[in-house]
Amino acid sequence: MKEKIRLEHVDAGFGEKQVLYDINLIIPERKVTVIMGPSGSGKTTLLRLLNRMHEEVRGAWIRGKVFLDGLDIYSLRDPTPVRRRVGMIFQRPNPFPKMSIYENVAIGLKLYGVKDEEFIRQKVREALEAAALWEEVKDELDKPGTALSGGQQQRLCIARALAVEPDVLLMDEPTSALDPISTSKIELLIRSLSKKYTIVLVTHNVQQAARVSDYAGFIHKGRIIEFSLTAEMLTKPKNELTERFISRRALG
Amino acid sequence: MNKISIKRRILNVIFYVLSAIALLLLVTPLVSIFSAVLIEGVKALSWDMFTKLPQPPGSKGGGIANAIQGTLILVSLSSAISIPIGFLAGIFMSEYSENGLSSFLKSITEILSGIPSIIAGLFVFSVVVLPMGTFSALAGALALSVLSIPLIARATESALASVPRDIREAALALGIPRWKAIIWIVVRAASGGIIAGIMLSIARVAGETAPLLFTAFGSQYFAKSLLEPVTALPLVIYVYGSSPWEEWVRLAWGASLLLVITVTMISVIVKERYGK
Amino acid sequence: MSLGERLFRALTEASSYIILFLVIAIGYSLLLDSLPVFTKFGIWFLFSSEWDPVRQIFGALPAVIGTLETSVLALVMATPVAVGAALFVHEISPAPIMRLFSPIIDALASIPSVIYGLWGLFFLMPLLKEWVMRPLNEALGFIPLFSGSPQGPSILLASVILAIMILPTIASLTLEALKMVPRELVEGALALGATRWEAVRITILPHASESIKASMMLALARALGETMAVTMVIGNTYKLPVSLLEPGVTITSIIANSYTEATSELHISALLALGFILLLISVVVNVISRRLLGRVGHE
Repeated sequence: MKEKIRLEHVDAGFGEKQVLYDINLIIPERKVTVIMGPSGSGKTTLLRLLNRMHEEVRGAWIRGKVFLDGLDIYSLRDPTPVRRRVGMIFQRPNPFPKMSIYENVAIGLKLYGVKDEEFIRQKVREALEAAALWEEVKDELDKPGTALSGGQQQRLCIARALAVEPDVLLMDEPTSALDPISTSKIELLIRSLSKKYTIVLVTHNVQQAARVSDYAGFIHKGRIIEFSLTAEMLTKPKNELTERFISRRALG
Repeated sequence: MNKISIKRRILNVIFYVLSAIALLLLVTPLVSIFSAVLIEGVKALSWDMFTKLPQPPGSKGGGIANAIQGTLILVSLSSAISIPIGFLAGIFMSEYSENGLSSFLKSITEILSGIPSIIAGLFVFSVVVLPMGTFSALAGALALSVLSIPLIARATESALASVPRDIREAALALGIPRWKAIIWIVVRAASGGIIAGIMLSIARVAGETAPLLFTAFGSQYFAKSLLEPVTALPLVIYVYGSSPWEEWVRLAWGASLLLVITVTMISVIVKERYGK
Repeated sequence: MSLGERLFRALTEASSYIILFLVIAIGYSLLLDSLPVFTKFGIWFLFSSEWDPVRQIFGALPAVIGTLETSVLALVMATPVAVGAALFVHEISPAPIMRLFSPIIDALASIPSVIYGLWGLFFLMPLLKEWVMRPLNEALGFIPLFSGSPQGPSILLASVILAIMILPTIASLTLEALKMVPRELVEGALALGATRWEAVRITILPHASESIKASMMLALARALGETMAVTMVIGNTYKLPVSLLEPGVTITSIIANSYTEATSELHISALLALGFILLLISVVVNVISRRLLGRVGHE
C-alpha cells in the first residue's frame, strides 16, 4: 500500500472546544478509506482537515501535521492549491444555483483561468462520464443543475469535483439525503472511481462501509480507536468500542 | 337565546363592521390617488409635454422635457455612485466581516436608511453646495445616493445571507479563491434579490423631492452641465402643483402620471421576475 | 492571499465604512452648521417661537411642536385603521382579498410623497374642509382646538395625509404579526364557543401587541421626517399651534419652504439646526423601533 495522506499528532478544535486528539493516520493511495464513528465523534472535522476546509469555520484551530504526498499542507499560506488537488462532496447535494449543468461542471476550470473552451468542453464531458451522469444529461446540458433529481444532483457535484482533476476525493456522508436506488448508484460510482482516485468517505452506515471501502478507521470521542482493512475490522474488531458500534449499527 | 349571547353577538357584529370600514378607509385613498393621477394626468398628456420647456407663468402650453431629462440625469448619476458602493458594502457585511462587526455595520445601515430624506439634502447642501457655491445635478445625485446606498447595501446583504453556507463551501472546496467564489458563484446565486433591491431603490429615489430642494434646486431649462442646477419630475410636481397657475398645475399632474407609471412599472417587473 | 483577494476585500470594506462615515459626517456637519445659531440664541433657540429672517431672529419651538403634533395625531388616526384592516383581512375576509392586500399595501407605500401632497391639495382638502373642518368648527368652535376659520391648509389636513402615508407600515407589520399567532389558539377559542371578536381579543391581540407597538414606532419615525406632502398642505404659518383647523408648520415644512430664500449665514444655520434636531429625534425613534422589532423577531 502506497501512502497518500498522513496525519501526525493532529489535535483540532473550535475555540475552547477540542474535537480531535492526537490523530495519527495513513490514508492509502487509490483506495477507499472509510471513517466511521458515532455522531459528534469528530468524523467530519477530521475529513475537513484534509482539504483545509476546517479553517473556514470561525475559531477553528489545528496542531500537528497533515502531509499530502509528503507535503505539509498546513505549511502553505494559501489553501487553494491543496483544495484543487482534494475535491469534496457534501452531505446534501449542492449544485450552484442559477447555473446550468454544464456551467456547474465547467466553473472550476473557468475560475482557475482556463480560457480554452474546447478543452473545457472536453473536461466537462469526461467528468460527467466519470460521474456516470453523461448519458442522462447530454441532451440537456443547458438545464439548471438544481432541476435534476437528488441523486443526479449528487453525481453532478461529483462531476464538478472531478472536472478540476484532483487526486483525492473527500465525501461527507454523500448518500445521507438520497433514496436507496440513488444511494446504490453512488456506491457503485465510488467503487469505480477508486481505480483513479484516493477516496476518503465519512459514514455512520456500517453496511455502506462494507460495500464500498478497502480500509476503515473507527473514531470515538475525537480519537482514532482502530484502523485496518475494512473486512478485518467488520469481522474481527480489536477494540470493544468498535465492536459495540459495529454490532449495533449492523443490526439497526 | 339568552341575554348574554345577544350582547356577545352584537359586539361581534360591531367588530366585523368596524374592521370592514377600516379596510375600506385603507383602500379608498389608494383608489382615489391612482384615479386622480390617471384622470388628471391623461388630461395633461400631449406631445408638447415630452418635448417642450415650461412656459412662463400665465401663458399657455409648454412641457416638462427638462424635468424628464433632469430625472434621467439624477437617477443615472446617483445609480452610478450608489450601486457599486451599496453592493460592495453589502458583500462585506455578509461575506467578510466577523459577526460583531457585521451586526454593527448592519445597524449603522439601518440608521442611515432611517434618516429623513430632507436631511440628506441638507447634508449635501452643507458639504457640497456651499463649498462649490452652486446648486448642481451632481449635488442632487449625491443626496439621492445618501438615501439609496443603505437600501442597496441592505438588499445585497440580505440576498447574500439567504444563500446557503453549503454553496460557499462547495466553491471554496473546489480551490477557487474566496473573492472569485463570491463574485461568480455566491453573488450569482443571490442575483435575483440583489437586482430586485437595486431596482426598488431606483424607484424610490426617482420619486424623492425633499433631498433635491437644497441640491439640484430646479431649473426652467435643459441641463447643460452636471455642475449646474437641474430640475426633476418630483420637483416640478411640488413647485408647479403648489403654484396658482392652471397650466402649471396641469403639468404637475402630467409629471405625476409619468412618475407613477415609472414607479409602478418597476415594482411590477420586480414582482413578476423576482417574486419580491 | 492573492492581490485580487486583497484588493476586492479592501474595496468591500471601504464601501461599508463609507456608510459609517456618512452617518458620522451627517451628524457632525449638521451640528457644526448649527453652531452659529446656538451661539447667538443659546438654548433659547429651542424655546422661542419667533422666526423672522428679516430681523435675523430664529426660534425652533413652533416647528418642533408642529412636527410632534402632526406625527402623533397621524399615528392616533392610522393605527386603528391599519390594525382593523389587517384583522379584517386575516380573520374575516375570504382568501382572494387576503392575496390582494399586500399588493395594495405595497402600492400605497410606493407612491412618492410629493404625489400624496398634490392629491391632498386638490382632492382631500376640499373634501375635508367641507365635510369635517367646517362642521367641527361650527359645532365645537368654542374649544381652542377647533377654533378659527377653516380655509383648508391646516394641521389636521397634514395629519390626515401623514396618517394615510403611514398606513402601509403599520398594516404590513401587523399582518405579519397576525400570521405568527399559532392557529390552534384561535381555533381553540372558537371551539370553546367564543365569538370571532372574543377570539381576536383574547388570543390574537395579546400576541400581536408587541409587534403593533414596534410598527407604530417605525411609522412614527416615518411621519416625523416626512416632508413634501406635509409642506404642500400645512399652510406654513410660523406660529405655535392652537387650532387643528388652522395652518401650522413642521421642521420639514419650514426647511423645504425656505430653500429658495435662505441666503444669510444665520438663516441657513437655523435651518440646519432644525435639521439636526429632526435628525436626533428620528434616529432615537428609529433605534427604539428597531429594538422593538428585533425583540418580536422581525429581521
